[in-house]
Amino acid sequence: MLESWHLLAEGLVAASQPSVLAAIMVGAIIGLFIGALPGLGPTAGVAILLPVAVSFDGTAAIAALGAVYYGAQYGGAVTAILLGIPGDASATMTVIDGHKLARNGKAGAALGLSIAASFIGGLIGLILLTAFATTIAQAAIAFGPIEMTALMIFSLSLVSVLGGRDLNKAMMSLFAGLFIGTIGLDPMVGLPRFDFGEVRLFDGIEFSIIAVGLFGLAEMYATPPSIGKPQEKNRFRFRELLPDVRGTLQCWRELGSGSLIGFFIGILPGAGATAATMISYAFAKRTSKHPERFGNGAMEGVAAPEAANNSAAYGNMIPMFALGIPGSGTTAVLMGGLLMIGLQPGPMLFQTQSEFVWTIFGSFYIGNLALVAITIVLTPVLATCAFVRPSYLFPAVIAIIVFGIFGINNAMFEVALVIGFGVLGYLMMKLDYPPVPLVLGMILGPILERGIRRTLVASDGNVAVFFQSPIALVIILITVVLLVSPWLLKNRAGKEHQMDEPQAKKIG
Amino acid sequence: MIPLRSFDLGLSAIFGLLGLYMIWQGSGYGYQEGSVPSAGFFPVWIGAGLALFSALNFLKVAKQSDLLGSVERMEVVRVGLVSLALVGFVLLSQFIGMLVASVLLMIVIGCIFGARDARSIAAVSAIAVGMAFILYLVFGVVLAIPLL
Amino acid sequence: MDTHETPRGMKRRTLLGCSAAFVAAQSLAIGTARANAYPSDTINYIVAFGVGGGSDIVARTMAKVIDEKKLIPVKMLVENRPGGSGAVGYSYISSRKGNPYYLGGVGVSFFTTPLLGKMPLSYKDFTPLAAIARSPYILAVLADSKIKSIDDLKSAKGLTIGSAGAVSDPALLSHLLNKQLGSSIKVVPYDGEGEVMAAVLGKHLDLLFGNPNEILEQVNAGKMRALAVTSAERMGSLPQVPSFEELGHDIVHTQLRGIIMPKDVPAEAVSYWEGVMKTVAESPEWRSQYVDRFNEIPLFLDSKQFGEEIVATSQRYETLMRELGLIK
Repeated sequence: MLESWHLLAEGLVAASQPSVLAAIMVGAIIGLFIGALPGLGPTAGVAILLPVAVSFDGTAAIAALGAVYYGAQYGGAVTAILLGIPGDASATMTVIDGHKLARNGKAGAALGLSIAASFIGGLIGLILLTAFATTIAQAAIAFGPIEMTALMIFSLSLVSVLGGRDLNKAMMSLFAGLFIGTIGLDPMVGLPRFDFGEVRLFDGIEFSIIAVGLFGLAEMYATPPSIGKPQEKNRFRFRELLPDVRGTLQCWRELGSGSLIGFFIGILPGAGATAATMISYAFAKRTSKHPERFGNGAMEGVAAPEAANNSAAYGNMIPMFALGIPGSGTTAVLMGGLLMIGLQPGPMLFQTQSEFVWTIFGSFYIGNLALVAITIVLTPVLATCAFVRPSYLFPAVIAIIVFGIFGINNAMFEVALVIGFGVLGYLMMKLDYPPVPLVLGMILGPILERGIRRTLVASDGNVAVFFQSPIALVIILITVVLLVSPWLLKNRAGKEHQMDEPQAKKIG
Repeated sequence: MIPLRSFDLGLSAIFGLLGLYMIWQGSGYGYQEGSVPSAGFFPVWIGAGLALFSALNFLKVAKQSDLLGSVERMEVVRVGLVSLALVGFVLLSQFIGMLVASVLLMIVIGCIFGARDARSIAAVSAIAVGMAFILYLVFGVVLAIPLL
Repeated sequence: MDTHETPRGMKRRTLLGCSAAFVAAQSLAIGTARANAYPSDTINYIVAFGVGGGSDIVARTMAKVIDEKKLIPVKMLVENRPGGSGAVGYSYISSRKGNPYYLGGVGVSFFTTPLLGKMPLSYKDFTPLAAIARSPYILAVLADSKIKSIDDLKSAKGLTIGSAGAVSDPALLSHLLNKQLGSSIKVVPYDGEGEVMAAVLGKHLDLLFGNPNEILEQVNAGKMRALAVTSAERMGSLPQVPSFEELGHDIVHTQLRGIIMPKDVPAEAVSYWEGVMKTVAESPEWRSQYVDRFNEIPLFLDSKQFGEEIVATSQRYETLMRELGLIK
């Protein structure tokens, strides 16, 4: 442990040399920018910069790519809050309360809080990464198909907390999401499912298509146009554009719990980050004295998921650095970068390339500090977006969306899908179908299916193996508590200890 | 004003049918292979769940008539118009290119969202042209996407 | 690197193919001037997968070597067109029929996606040019596993082996292995090679067929033991590990790093690229930046030899997919 901090200090010094500093700044700004474009997330950012970055020298290249990754997290919160469009699946929960806050005229407060949450989440994630990277990697691989199945069942059961008023509609939304998750080549036998004869559906439906359709377009459709009342909506006080320090500090509990949940769930390969944001949101809601405020613009509802997804970004890097296993789309591209500069991530990396690893970790600290400075300065400017009238703002946003979605595969097919999901999203919004369960089903359903089928292929169809893993049993137990506790506690409102930290048990 | 009830009934019906379609297709993919679930296993169960909850919702909405309220006709028209504008953009892009088509798209969307007088339209047009240039720089040049 | 790009992890989410570095030349590529000697125009190398994957690394390293050694008088652009498990990219190349300015790389999906019958193309719609490296697979177990040799596999019960994707080289090899040994090792498909490795390290799987690069890393760290390699001869970097062939098992299957063009390109273009690729394959730059870095086997196959290997590989996959019930 102590040795880690010593190594980190050396890394910080090494990361302060001009070439690396320049790389961090370039990466952070590009990440911020790409993350803020509706429809583009961190994976896109890292992929775009990768071919350029590998021409830098090794350390600078990875410092820049890493900076794109966490820069995009900061940027993603901006789009999620101001336009209601999540840049990637892990930003979905930020939209729920963040965008409400912005619509209620608290864009500045929401943005400021998201920056603070990103920074705190990032910092806690980084500290844990620095201290425990090598030991924690070992815990992460304890999660095999059986344990992932249990975790996914737990995450999907969150629909009971995240589902909104009408549980039946939440279930419809969840199953629609599960359906979308099955589209494409079957993961186990390679058979195309629900492809409707279209090769372009072989790889399934990209999350950003759902995000801009279901969240972005739907939100715009439901906004009243600015006819007749020319300047009225545009009036705002400068104070509303500034971060709200007191409100932010009041969220300390959510910031802390979000960071921890984010880090530990984020370590798990697959949809760790997305599951982490949903779990942290549900945890914050369940332990809150005013759960009814969640979903209607609660500051805590921004703090928890934002801290979680930034913290998860570092948790996610652990399997990549320490084991050579990419845990998400973004780290997969990042790992491509490591390979291209001639480094093999894996157990030997910390020994043979120790200096490199610690310089990179050092660069993460510097990059996070730089991003806080940049985004705080930009907050008032960005927040004015929330007050631009629809007839000017929407054409520009829709055009960016269309170009961004076209860029996924350089094809109009995806744009056509977005149009369809826009209409669906509008209907769902008007009819009070919550969109979050759909995202939950779409992202986590495929992992659940893989977990169950992988387990059963290996066990020859023996279901008993699911109950032979202690980790899985603990998670299932927590799930049962989560589902039953509302009934048990119905008469005793105000009791808070019904859901004790799930993340502590996850790693054991 | 259009009552939302009919929309909810319609959406439930569509989701319900989708569920049944999934069960039908899923059984075609193979439900089980020996004792191991195959490609159709999940689709069948997801389809069943979707059909079940859709049917429950359908019945609930059909019984209660005052649950949802209504929506302004103009709002629904707006959804249709924007969707049409986007479809038009997709089709037009093949012939006049994405950048030119996007200028038209932006002006139309600006009009739909309230730019009706000459001044507003002029402003939207200016924004559209400027935006198209930015889009060209960002997507065409920096991100090097082969735009149509 | 990976041979079967992870379906959900990487390729699908990887947006926006090409890089900013090549921007300026992008617009030039559209011109179709074909003046005097070949090549007189920009060469487009189409990667049917996302940035950072195995195919992408081959393409970019090759382009870099060609550029460093100034082997061609024109620019070479690497462009990613992911989607449809390679279908989008390969369809794009084949639609440039007769145009010798489009190149592509060969991956597992090059064979398997057409065999699924959903893409109206096959390997016959492309011209093989040359292959410049070969990547064998290594069968490995955890270092503390009770499996010490191939023979131990015959007697062991209930073993599982990972595969990146349902139809992949490791899946193919596992089926061959079961046939040869008469064993019944169960193949469990994962989404990528990293996931398979994690599952083996976490003891959720017993065995894997990995590429040299990732296995060597684990072997050197003392975490894994290599049992046998799928190349005909032993590997230079693992001299103590036998090949399946010398153990008396008829399992020889390696992944070729080769390039193709659309159908009906002029013969002069084929021989031109044979020449360029031969120089690349034999250059120290290619050796150090690719072959040695990823622990692959140096090699050069010309158009004819490479074409024969393509036919043989496609047949191997067809057999496998028939057995798996994917082709009726």
